[in-house]
Amino acid sequence: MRTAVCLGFASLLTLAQTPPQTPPAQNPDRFEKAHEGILSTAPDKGKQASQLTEAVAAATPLKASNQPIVRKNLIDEQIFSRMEKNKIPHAPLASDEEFVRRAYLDATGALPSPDAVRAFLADRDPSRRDKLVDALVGSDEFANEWAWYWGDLFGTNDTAGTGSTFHFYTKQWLKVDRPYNEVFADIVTAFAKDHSAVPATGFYSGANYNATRALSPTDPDNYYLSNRLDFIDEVSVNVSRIFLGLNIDCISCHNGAGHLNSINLYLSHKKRAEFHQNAAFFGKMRVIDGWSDRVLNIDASNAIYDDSGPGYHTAEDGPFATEAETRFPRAPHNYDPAFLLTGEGPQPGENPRHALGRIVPTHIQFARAAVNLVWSRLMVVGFVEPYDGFDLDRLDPKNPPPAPWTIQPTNPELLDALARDFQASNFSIQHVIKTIMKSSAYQLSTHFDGEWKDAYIPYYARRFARVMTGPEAADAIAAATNRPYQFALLGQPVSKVLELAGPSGVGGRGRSSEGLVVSALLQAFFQSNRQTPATLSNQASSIQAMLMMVSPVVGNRVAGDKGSRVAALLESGKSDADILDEVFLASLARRPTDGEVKACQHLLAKDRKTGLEDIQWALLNSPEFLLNH
Amino acid sequence: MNIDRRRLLGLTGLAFAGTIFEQTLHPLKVKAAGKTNPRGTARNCIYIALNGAISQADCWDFKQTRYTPTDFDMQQIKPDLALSKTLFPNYAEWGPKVSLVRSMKASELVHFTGQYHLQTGRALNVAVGKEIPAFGTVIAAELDSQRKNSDTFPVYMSLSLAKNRVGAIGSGFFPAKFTGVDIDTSVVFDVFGGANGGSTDVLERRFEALKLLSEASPTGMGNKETEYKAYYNTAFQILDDKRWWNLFNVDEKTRKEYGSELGLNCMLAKNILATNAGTRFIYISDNTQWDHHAYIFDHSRPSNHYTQCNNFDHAFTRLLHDLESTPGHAPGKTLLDETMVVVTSEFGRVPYMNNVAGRDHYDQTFTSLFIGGGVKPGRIVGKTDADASKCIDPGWDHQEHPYLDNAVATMYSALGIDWGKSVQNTPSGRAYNYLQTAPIGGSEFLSGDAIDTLFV
Repeated sequence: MRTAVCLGFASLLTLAQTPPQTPPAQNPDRFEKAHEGILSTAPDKGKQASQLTEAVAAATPLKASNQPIVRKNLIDEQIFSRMEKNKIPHAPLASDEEFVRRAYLDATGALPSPDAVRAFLADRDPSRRDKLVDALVGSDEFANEWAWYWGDLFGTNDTAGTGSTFHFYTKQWLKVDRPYNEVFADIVTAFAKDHSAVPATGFYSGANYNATRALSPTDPDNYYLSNRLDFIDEVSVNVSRIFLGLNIDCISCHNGAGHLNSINLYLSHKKRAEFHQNAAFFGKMRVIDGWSDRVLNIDASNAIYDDSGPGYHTAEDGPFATEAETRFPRAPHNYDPAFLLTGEGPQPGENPRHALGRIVPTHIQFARAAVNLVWSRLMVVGFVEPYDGFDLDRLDPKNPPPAPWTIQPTNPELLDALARDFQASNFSIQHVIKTIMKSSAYQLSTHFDGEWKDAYIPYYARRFARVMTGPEAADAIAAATNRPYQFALLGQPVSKVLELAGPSGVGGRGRSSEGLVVSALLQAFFQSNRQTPATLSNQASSIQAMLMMVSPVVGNRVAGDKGSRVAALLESGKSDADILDEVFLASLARRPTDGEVKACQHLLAKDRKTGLEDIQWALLNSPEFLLNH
Repeated sequence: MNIDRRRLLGLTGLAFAGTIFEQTLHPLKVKAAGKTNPRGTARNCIYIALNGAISQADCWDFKQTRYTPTDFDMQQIKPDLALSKTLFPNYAEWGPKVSLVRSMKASELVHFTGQYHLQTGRALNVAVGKEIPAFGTVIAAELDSQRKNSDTFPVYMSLSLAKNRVGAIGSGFFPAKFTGVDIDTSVVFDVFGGANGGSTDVLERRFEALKLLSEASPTGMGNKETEYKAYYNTAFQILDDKRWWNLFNVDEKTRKEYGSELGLNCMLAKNILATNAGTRFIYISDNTQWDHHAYIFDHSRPSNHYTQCNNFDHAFTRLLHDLESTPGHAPGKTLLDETMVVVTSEFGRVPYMNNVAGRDHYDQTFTSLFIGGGVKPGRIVGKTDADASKCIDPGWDHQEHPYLDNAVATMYSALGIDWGKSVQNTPSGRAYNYLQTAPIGGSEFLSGDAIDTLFV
C-alpha cells in the first residue's frame, strides 16, 4: 500500500531526462530566462472531458436510443461524413431522458421539473426535441444562464457599482437576440456623462478600477490617479480576448518574436507597435471618475466616458500624464489606429471607436470567436481551447503552418462553415445555439459501445459529460428538493443563484443566511469571482464531494421538513412507487430502474422518513446528478 | 485509520484510488535545476495573511515620525526592535523571539491582485492566470509522497480563505486533488458540531445508502474506477475520520477564550497540526479591517490600528504558546520547533498620512514576520530609512529586494522543497517556475533565492 502510494506519486512527478546541452549564448535580454524549457505539447480540455466522460458513462444506467441518426443540418453533414470517411465509430443517439435533462441544463441552467420530464417522455411527436429547443432558447431562464456565461467572460461584478446594470444589459440582448455585431458596436462606442445611465459602459469599469492607483486622492481635481493608456490597453486586451478569441496581453508589453515562438505562431510575428495601433482605436477615450464630498474619495459609481482625449500619444499623454503602472514604459510615438488583423483604419473624420465597431465584425474571426464560445459550452470541447487561444496561422487546412505546428481547431471546416452561417443569420446567437442543439451531433449519448480512443475526441464521436457550473449545481440542489433560496437583487427577492447579477450577489452573512455556504459551494465548482481569471473548470474535486455530503445547503434540503419535496411526499400518502418516481424524476430526470426501486424499498422499510431523506441525499450525491451528461 | 475497502464506492483493490488514478490523468513533467539547498527544517508551515495590509511603520518596523500617536508606549526590546505595548500587550512574550524581514517589496497596490499574490506567490498575469495554482497546492503535490496510510486530512488546508478578496485560488493546472480544503470558521462549528452531533453516524448511514443505490443500477458502478468516485472516496475518508469531527468539538468556553475568528483559526491550526493526520500547510486568512485609509489611529472608530493589533496580539500569543506546549513529531521537539509561522500582508502602508487621517497602500517597503520551524530567533533582515519610505539595506546577499515570491521560497526551503523546480507541460505551454525570477506579471526582476539568512 505504502509502495503503491509512493510509486503513484513518483509517476505523478516524473523528472524529465534533460540531454546535455550547449550553454545558451550570452543574451543580454534576461527575459529569455523566464521562457526556458517551453514545450508545445500540453494536456488539453478535450482529453480532460474525454476521461471524465469515460469515467461516468458507466454510472448512468440509461439505455441510449436506437433511433437511426438523421443528418439535420450543416453540423451533422460535417461531423458524420467526416467520421464516415475516416471510419470512426460513434455513440448512438441519447435517450429522451438523457436529452431532456441535458437540453434544459444547457439552455437554461435549470433542471426540468418532474412534470416537464413526464410531458416530454410522453410526447410522441417526432419533432419533440426540436420543439423543446425552440421553447427553451429565448426564455427568461435562457437569458439568465447565458448572461452568467458572458458575465464570467466580461468580469461583470459590483466593484464599480455597475455590475447589475451591465448584467441586465447582457441579459436583454441575449433574450431579444440582438445581432451580436450590434452589441459589439454598442459596447465599444459606449459614451456617457454619467456612466450609470448607459449600461454598455459597464464593460469598462473593471479596466478603470484596475488602472486606478490605490491612493486616496487629496482633492477632487487630482487627475493623476490613473494612467489613461494603461486603461486603454486593458480595454483593448479585453475586446480582443472576448470578441476575437485572441489573447494579446503578451504583445501589449513586448514583440511576439523571441517570446511566443513556441506558443502562438500568428502572434509571434506581431509587434508591440501593432498592439498600440490596435489599441489606438480607443486612443481618444477619456475616463473621469466622479468625486464624493461625503467620503472625500473617488465615487466610482459615476464616471464620464467620452471621446475627448488627445489620441494614443505615448510621448506625453497630457494634460495629466501619470506613470504607467500595469505596462512597461512605452516608446514615444503618436499611434494611428490600425486593426491588428488587417491594418485597416478609420475613414477620414470617423470617430475611431465607431470605426472599430464597424470594422471588427466584418472579419470572419469575430464570427469564429462567437461560434467557438457557444460551441465549447454546448459541446464541452471547443473547436479551439482555451477560448482566447486562437492561432490565426493554424486555422486553414488548405494553408497549413510549417511543422511541428499542426492545424488547431478540432474541425476547421465546420468552424468556418458555422462562422459564415452566423454571419448570414445576421449574427444571431440564438440561431447558433439552436442549430447546435437541434443537430444529431449534439444529441449523441455519452454511452459509447466498444473501446473509446482519445483520437476520437475531435470527431465529437460521443457526448462529453461536463461538471455543472457553480450556479447550475446550487440551483439544481434547490430545485430537486423543492426548497428555493432567499436571495435579493436590488431589493427584490430572487430564489435562484442564476437570477442574481453575479457571484457576489450571493454575498456574505448580511444578504442571506445561506450566503456563505452557497458561496463556498460555488467556489468548489470553480465559479470565477470575476476579479481574477477563472481557473480551468470542468473538473471534479474532493471539495465538491465534501460539500455535497455535509454542507447545510444540502443537509437542510434533504430533510423531511419545511415544505421540502421529501416532506411533501411523506405527507401525500402516495405509494412507494409514485414517491420514488417523483424523487428520481426531480433529481435525475428519469424514473428508477427495477433494481433501484428494490434498493430504495429496502431503505424505506427500515424507517420511512430517514429512508427517503437518505435516498434524496444519495441522489444528490450521485455522479449522475452533478454532471451534465 | 483503515477504511474498510468494502465501504468505499465500487473500487476494486486500490485503497488510494485517487492517487493512482490521477497519475494517468495528469503526469506533470517537472525539471529540477539542482541549484538550491532547501533547509528542510520544518515539518509544517502556518501562513497568516493579514489582508488589507498592516501599517509597518506603526508596528514591526516602527518609526517615530510626526504622525506617530503619543500613546504607543514603545518598548525597546533590542537596539533594532521596538514594539508598542499599547498595540501588543503581550509584546514581551514574542517580541524577542520573532524574526522580521523589513525589506520586502510588493508588485501591486490593490487588494485583489495583492491577495492573489499572497496565495499564488507571484504577481497576477492574466495571460496565464487561469492555470496558476495556489502555492499551497504546490506544497501539497510535493509532500504527497510523505503521506502515511492513516492520513486522511488534506496536506493543504485554509481557514477563512474563501472570504478574502479573491476567494480561494484553486489548483490551477495541478491535479484538482491538491486543491486546498477551506474551512469557514464562522459556520464550521455549526456544520460539524452542533446539528450533526459531532458524529459520523448520519454520514456513514447515508454513504451506505449511496453505495447501495449505486450498486443497484443495471450496468453497475462496479468494476470501473471512476474519477468521480475517487473524489467521493477521498472526501468520505476525511469526513468519516472521527479526528476530523473532533477538531470542531470545541466547547463554548474555549472558543470564547480564543475570541475572534483569527483566534479561532489559530486554535484550529494548532489542533489540525497536533492531530497529525496529514495536514502540513495551513493558510489562515485574516479578513478583518486592516485597510485603514481613514482615521487609522482614531480610538472612537470600531476598527482602527489599535483594535486590529490587539486582536492580532491576542491570537498570535496564544498560537505561539499553544505550539510551544504541544509536542512535535520528533522526540524532544515542540510543534513550534517543527512549524514555520509566517505573518505578512499583501503590501505595506505609506509613510505619511492622507487627508482623512489614514494611510494608503505602499509597495516600496513592508515587513513580514517569521518564527519557528528552523528560523533563528530574533533575526532582523533589512533596514529602511527614517520613515520607512525607502529600503536602505535589503539585508541579504542580493541587490534585489525580497518579494512575497521569495517568502514563499523560504517556506519551500523550510519544508524541504526545491524552489528551483519548474513544470514543463502546462496548458499554455509556458513553463511554471516554482520561483520565477522574471515575473511575467511584475515589473522588476527577483532574486532566485529563498531568504536563507533567516535560518542562520
